Amino acid sequence: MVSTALAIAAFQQTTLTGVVRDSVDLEPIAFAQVTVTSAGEEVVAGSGVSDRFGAFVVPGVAAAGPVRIEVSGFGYAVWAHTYEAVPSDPVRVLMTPAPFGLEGLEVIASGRAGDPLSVSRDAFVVDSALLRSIPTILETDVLRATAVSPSASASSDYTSVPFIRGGTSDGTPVLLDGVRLFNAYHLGGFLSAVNAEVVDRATLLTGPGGDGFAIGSLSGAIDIATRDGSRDRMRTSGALGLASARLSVEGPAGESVSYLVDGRRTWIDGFTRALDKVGVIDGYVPYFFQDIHAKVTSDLGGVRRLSVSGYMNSESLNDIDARERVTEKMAMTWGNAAISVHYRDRLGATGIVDANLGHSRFTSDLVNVGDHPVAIDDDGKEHDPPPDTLLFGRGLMGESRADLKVIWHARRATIMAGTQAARFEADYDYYLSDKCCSWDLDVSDFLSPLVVRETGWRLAAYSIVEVPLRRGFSTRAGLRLDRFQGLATTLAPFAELSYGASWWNARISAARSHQELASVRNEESLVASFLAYDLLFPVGRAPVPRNTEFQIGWQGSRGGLRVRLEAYTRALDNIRLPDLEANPIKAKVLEDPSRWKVASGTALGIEASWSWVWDRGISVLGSYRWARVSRTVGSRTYTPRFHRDHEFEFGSSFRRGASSWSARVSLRSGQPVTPVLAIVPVARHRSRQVDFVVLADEYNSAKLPYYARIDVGWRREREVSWFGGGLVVPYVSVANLFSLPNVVGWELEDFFGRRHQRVYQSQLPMIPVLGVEFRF
Amino acid sequence: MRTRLRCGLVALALAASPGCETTRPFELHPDVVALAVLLVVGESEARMLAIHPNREAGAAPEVTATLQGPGGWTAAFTDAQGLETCTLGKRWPSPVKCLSAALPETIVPAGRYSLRGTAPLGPFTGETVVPAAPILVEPADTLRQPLPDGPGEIRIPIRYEVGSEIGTLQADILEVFETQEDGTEKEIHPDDLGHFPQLVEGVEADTVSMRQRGRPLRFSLRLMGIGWNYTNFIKHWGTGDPLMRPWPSFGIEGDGVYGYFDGVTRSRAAKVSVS
Repeated sequence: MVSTALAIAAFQQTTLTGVVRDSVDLEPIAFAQVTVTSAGEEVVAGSGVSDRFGAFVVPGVAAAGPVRIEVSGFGYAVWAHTYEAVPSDPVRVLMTPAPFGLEGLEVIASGRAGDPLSVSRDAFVVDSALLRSIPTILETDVLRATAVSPSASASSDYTSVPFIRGGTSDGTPVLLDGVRLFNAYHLGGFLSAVNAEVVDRATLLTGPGGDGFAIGSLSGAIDIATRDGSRDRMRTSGALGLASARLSVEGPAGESVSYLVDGRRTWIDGFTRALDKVGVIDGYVPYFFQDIHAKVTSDLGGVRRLSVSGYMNSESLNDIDARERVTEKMAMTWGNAAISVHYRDRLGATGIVDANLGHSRFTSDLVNVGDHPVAIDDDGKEHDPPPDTLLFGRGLMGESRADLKVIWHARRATIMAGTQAARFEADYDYYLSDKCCSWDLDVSDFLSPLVVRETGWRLAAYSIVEVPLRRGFSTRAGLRLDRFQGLATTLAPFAELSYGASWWNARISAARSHQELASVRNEESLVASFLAYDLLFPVGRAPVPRNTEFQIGWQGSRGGLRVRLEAYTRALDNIRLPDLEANPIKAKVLEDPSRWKVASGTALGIEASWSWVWDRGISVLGSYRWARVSRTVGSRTYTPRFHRDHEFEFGSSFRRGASSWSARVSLRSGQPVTPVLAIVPVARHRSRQVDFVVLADEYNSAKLPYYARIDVGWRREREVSWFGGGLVVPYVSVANLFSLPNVVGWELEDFFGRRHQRVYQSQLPMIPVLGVEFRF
Repeated sequence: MRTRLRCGLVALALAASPGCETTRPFELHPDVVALAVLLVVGESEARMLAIHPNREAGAAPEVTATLQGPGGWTAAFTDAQGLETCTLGKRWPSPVKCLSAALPETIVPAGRYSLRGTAPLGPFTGETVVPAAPILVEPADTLRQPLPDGPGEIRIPIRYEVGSEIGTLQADILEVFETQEDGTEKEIHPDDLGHFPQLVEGVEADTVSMRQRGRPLRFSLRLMGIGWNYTNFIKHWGTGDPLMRPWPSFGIEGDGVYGYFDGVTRSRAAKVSVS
């Protein structure tokens, strides 16, 4: 009898699916909370959260009788509707944006979707509102914004891409609409290459577990999602800044299709040329970058959708000024391109299937023709040798990738399963003369002769099951199988146990990941702090690089305050690193990896982050991180130069009316440095010449002075009637307000051959920035 | 140059750079002392060069030291008369002085010697075993070699055997006589033929090269072996590259005391005539 009743009840349960969208432009709304209750009762019949495409699935909802569906999303009025029965077709939830005056809270409000801490247990999410609440450096930058996470650390002010938990950039792919974007920055790494106008959010995945399990990288990922494009009318937005101009156009193309096209072009070359012409500066910077991105999305009904996203950028440094010596010429061009196709459909009543195809490539073409120094023949006569090729090279790295992922929402479990196939290609051939190079750029400072030709296939299958247990406990467990062509077959497990109470939750997890990619970068080089470019290659021989990570976390929220605490330990095995050279800080950044060794690394850290909102329009977001990071190559263990033990970030924004003010304080302990003990003048045995022996303590055993920087920003929205009405937002920012003399390292230099001095390489000085954004 | 690029691309575009480099003087401990001690086989005097490396001017370091030799004899170092007793180097950028000790017996190959003393920052000790002499296999006792026709170097092939305790092997020439046009011989300085002593780096054989002046020559050629304490210390001499801890042994230990304590041995001398 009882079993019959249970069987009837089971048959009466059904699955609610739907998509949450903005009621104005029909953009999908992620992280919206969906709650289903039996009408007239307080009992929750089911709940769910919308995913990155706005889709939600709530399984096991009682089918009999009326139900009330309530959806709340950050910055939107609550959507609620009562149905006579659970709808069998997907529900279309159109949410109305909350009143304008509350937007000041949207930026970093807590407790709701939109807060960087609350929307994902596995990640730190930077949405477009938070992006604009951070004082800009040159211009609004999505990669720089992710550094507000305690897990992310910028290796210097000059690089926008952060390192995650003691890993390096080769272990943290930057994904744009699901496809890897190589060297996702311009200007040596200073600006990210993704136009902030079209970014919906950037998700910083800190490790190999949870949402990062599907990616299969060593050190998490930065997953940038762009908007679909508005479906109500054509809109234009953009910005004019000191470094560049950017523009995006979006709109509907038929009933269910939207498009989004955006581009950016720097005017550094034109700007400096103009300054040169009027005599403000001597010479100009023959450099430019540009990027273009386009996306078309088709809403196929319900959760079904198809989107195609394409991206292309280029940078160039061409020294072809006719005033220069005609025998000196530098032509350096590099850039990347990526395309991705995403298709989503339902699979049965409770499943959603996502299929992704993507291809991405980075190419570079470098040439420098110049003079060798004056030659002297055997008779002592001087000759001007003819111009010669001092630098020549081409490089290509590319990845083609296919992903298929299915998520089933069963009543007692959520099951995700996926397969991947990826092919990576690396083909680099750079020749440098030892006399290289001309112009202001000494390429030989960062590039050594380099020949790499490697390809590698990776096939993977994985699955994660999430099961709620009793008394507030729940668990996730997964397994990933990777076949690295010609290397190894690896198994990577993931397990997590979590507990949720009314206002807090805690979890403990362990995960492992592998990747076959390594980098030709030598992070110990001082120049590595100024140039972020990287060339990846598949390791040609086993063992495969591996990360094993344990993590424990706690998160709670009370009122407007939300706090997240995490501790982790990570062991990086089989990574590829160069031996420490005689003077590592003077090493090249990009080196021939044939001499790379199988090395290891560790990271151990405690992170705290918090957000707090006061109902008067003030909000704060802060983080503190302590960590220890090491690398071991052969018998030498050292702290890598990019690491800082302590990092404290504090951001605050205040909005009153149409104006908003923001400030950001960064305090960090100094980077490691090798202390000099004595510079001993010595004459070698039976020699008259006295020169120096520099005696130093252990590598990186001391610290540079601490780092402190304060950035401030102001912006004001002004409604205008131009082009049918819109917003114009002038903004002003000052990076490093007090021009604090932060340093990234120092080099020992000989001072007129007699005394040595240390030459400090500075971080950013004070940089005032102004610009204007517009939306029509 | 890269600094100019950085300033150019970032700060120049922003017109906001106060300069991308700053320099600050070293703040190294001024009382640190560096000692250079090479015991030469066959000599009955030991010499020690003492330097305040982290000072540009001022008094030379106050150092007391005693050398102990095989059999337990001791000899105290005292200030020597001139710097030239210790070194050929003349232009020292730091306060420096030479100390010497008269020994009761000559320095012997394979002999174990120890050093004990005090420096401004505390006591120091040292220990070294003087390497065994390198064996010059070729040339034999005498070698006659024709003078090269036209321009070019005089190249003397050598073969030798050295023990693993030798880290630096040098070829030296001495008693260099040049035959003049009138048939008389005139002694010239080895430096007239190139830089000597010359580093020898082959495993068992190498070539000693010297400038030729178009006239017949005769000289004595010998090898000098120096131990690893010295070799390790001067590994990055003149390169600016730091010698980072953990250091191999330099033969001297003590807080604020750096330097090397080692020995030099010589092979037999071969008589070479080039005519």
